[in-house]
Amino acid sequence: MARPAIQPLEIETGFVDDHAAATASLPGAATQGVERENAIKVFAVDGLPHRRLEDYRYFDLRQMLAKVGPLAVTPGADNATASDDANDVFANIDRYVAVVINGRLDTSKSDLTGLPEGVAFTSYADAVDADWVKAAFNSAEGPQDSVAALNRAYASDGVAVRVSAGVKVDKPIEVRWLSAGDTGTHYHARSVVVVEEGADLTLLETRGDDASAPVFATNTLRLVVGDKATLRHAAVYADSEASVRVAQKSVTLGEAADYQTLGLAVGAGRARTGEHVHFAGEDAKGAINGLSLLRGKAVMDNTLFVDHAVPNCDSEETFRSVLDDASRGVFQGSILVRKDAQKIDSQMQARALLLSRKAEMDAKPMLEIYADDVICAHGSAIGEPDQNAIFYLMSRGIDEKTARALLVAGFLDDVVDGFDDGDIAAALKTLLAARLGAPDDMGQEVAL
Amino acid sequence: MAAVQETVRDVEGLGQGDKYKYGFYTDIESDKAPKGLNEDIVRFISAKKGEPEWMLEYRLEAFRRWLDMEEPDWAKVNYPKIDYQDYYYYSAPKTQGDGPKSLDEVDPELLRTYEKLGIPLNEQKMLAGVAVDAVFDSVSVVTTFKEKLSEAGVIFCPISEAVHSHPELVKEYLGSVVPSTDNYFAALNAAVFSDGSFVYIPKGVRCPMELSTYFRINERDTGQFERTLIIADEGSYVSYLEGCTAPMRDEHQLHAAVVELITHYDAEIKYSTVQNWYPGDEDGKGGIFNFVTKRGDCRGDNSKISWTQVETGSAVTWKYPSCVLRGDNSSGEFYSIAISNGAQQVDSGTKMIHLGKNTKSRIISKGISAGKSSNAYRGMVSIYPNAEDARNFTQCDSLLIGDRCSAHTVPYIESRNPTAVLEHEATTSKLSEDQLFYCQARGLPEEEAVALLVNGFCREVLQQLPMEFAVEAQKLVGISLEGSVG
Repeated sequence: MARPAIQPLEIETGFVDDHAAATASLPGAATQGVERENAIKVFAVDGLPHRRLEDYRYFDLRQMLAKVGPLAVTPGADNATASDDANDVFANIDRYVAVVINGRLDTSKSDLTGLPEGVAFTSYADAVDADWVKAAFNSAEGPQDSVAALNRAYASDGVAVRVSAGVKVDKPIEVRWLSAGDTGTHYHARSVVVVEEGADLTLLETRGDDASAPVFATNTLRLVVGDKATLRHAAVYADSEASVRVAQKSVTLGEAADYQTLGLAVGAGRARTGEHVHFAGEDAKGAINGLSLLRGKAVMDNTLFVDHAVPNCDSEETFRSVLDDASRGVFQGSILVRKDAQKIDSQMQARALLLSRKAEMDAKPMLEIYADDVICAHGSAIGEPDQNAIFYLMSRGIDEKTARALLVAGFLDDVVDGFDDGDIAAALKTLLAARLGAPDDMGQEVAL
Repeated sequence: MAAVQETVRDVEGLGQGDKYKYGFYTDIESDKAPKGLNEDIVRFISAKKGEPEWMLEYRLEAFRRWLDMEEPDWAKVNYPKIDYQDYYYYSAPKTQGDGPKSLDEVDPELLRTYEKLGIPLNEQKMLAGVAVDAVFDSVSVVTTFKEKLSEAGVIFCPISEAVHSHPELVKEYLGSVVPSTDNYFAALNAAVFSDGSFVYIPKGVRCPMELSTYFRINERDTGQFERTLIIADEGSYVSYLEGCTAPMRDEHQLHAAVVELITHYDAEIKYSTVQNWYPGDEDGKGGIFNFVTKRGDCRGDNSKISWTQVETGSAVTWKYPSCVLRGDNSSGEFYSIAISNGAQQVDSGTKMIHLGKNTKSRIISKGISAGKSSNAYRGMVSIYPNAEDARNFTQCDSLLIGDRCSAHTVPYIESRNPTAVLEHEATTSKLSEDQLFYCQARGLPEEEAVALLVNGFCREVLQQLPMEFAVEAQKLVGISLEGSVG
């Protein structure tokens, strides 16, 4: 049907009109200028993605931002805060910490002392012209949509980490994404992490804001896991209801690489994680997991694309959502097995528990298979907590609220337990338990 | 095993495109509209059928809508752009006088065609339980067993006849499930539909026989636009069979059918299809474009609609038989076998829309791709907020034979009610070498072994077919996969 031209939103025209002035104050104005200008031209044509685009069918960014007035690019601030969950989750783990405020690395608040030799850690803006950063981004695959263009156009800062071949980083590196600003802000961060051949890194991310003002952020993360290298990645998203966020991860796995990621969304914001995992070397393994424990009007969209381009790789994708109030979980997962990528074993699972009448789950687990000698499967199940199991627990003397919390905790912990680092798994489980009021704090109000 | 033996014999006799069994051409002078599509053609079709004014208006409105619509491009199929002005939109076999009064009056050429097709029309009256409404290039020529049906009060006639004989029913139901604004091909169909079947089962009647239609595309460059409307009134039951073959043609042929099913309180419709139209040759030359909109509306409580399809033919298939589960306790089923070989492209699946309480749906889809074909399942299960205790089970299995074909699964699962339980499973794998080896070790030739294993893979769906279809379908499974191994 002939579609009428879409009237640009105030926020969209704002992005385009303010671009020149706003980016002048961003780091790397001299070196990134041309790319930024080209990117904003692309965005000016396409605008924000909306539900008529298949990829954003369940995450109508245009509608989400329709009522948000123009946002400003604000510099970093001293009073940047994060939600308690984001603050506390990894507090007891011995780690390096990088603090990024409004998309700019704040070295004064970061604690990176003692990083082993062979680990290069800088701000993205400082490293943007380095050959290895350019190479990493030039080889990146993933959607070139208008969000990617906006991110490019306003690219501010982020982190750039390179772990040299054979180096095993002794402690996890945590990147904390904070935001500050009284009137609302938008920022667009870019980061790159390269784990070279045989190296080993655990990367943590925490993200959260305290709902003082609207935040719209896009975050591009480029991960390169070299041959025989290992990358464990865990992220906690504790966004407030005032935030709208789109994270785009592009991952490339080398030969016999081992990649593991777990994203845990416990916030009330509207967020999307788009992950593109490209198997470029044989015998690589990937475990891509996502958990959501949502309330209020939260939306968590996990959009995943797994590209099996070479033979003999295994991938496992497990996504689980627990949805309360009027929250909405989205899973769009796609496994592509290219021609001649034989002997692939790929298992994708998306499950959801709906706890409220207004909650909603939308799942789209897709397979696209061009090679015949593969085992690929996906499963999806949506329902409410098993009444029989609740009845059983109650018959053993456990009150209903605790029984429900136990079931929900079990549903989520199952995936956390699979994470390859016991301390981190324990930290995540503590966070979930606190949220659920079970099983550690039996008798406490169930937070859900 | 007899069926398998027969399959092997058939395979020997058939093979690829150039040997297509039904690829003959009957030379009957056609009564054609000029090529192309415009308002005059729509008026011509309507006038040719002597339709009342309201029907013409319906067509014209759909046509105007169609002009503003865009051809959908989301399906996983590739085909050259269709020039809609390059088709004939009406052709009818010429008959002597006003129409045949009995089988003797039917054009003998036509009868011979049916014989080759394996429809024993001469024996129809003796054959138990099947009434055939034979559609030959858009116009129903012969309808048998009418007497027995009318005794039961069942109306089974060409839709062009129903427009005159039962205008109140056609007016009430036509387009009420698939409105002409639904999609591009539905709009096209509404504008130019040639003919099709109309079935009305009155209250409390269990249709005394299985109703069946054979469609056949014959004339060169003829678009076929069938329109089928089946209404099952309260407490009634009908099983409807649709089977298709088409002669070989080099030009792509377009088929855009619309099928609408309506079940009222406690009624049930079982709709089975075997589709084995000409799939084109190995390089994708020729073959049918099959763009079909099929939808059932479980309007009344406790009603049921069941779709079973065996899709082996057509160059390009775009087909999603769906159920709108409106009434409480209503249920929808979709059983499908889609086989693609050569250069065929299939994008098929279903939609189950749960609106009422305690609604149930079951989807079993078996996709088999061989050669360099592409086979996609695309389906949606949507639970609306009021669909208390709704239940869905979906299983989509894909089987790959050879390393040049592809299989895709694109399910959409949406739940907005916590009491609903949805399960979805999908697997993709290749034909087990172990099983194949075992069968061969027991003396079965490879091709026979493949047919046997694939028939086993499809068993859950084949079981759903009425007897006479099941036999044909089982043969087709083997024939369709001919040349796919080794």
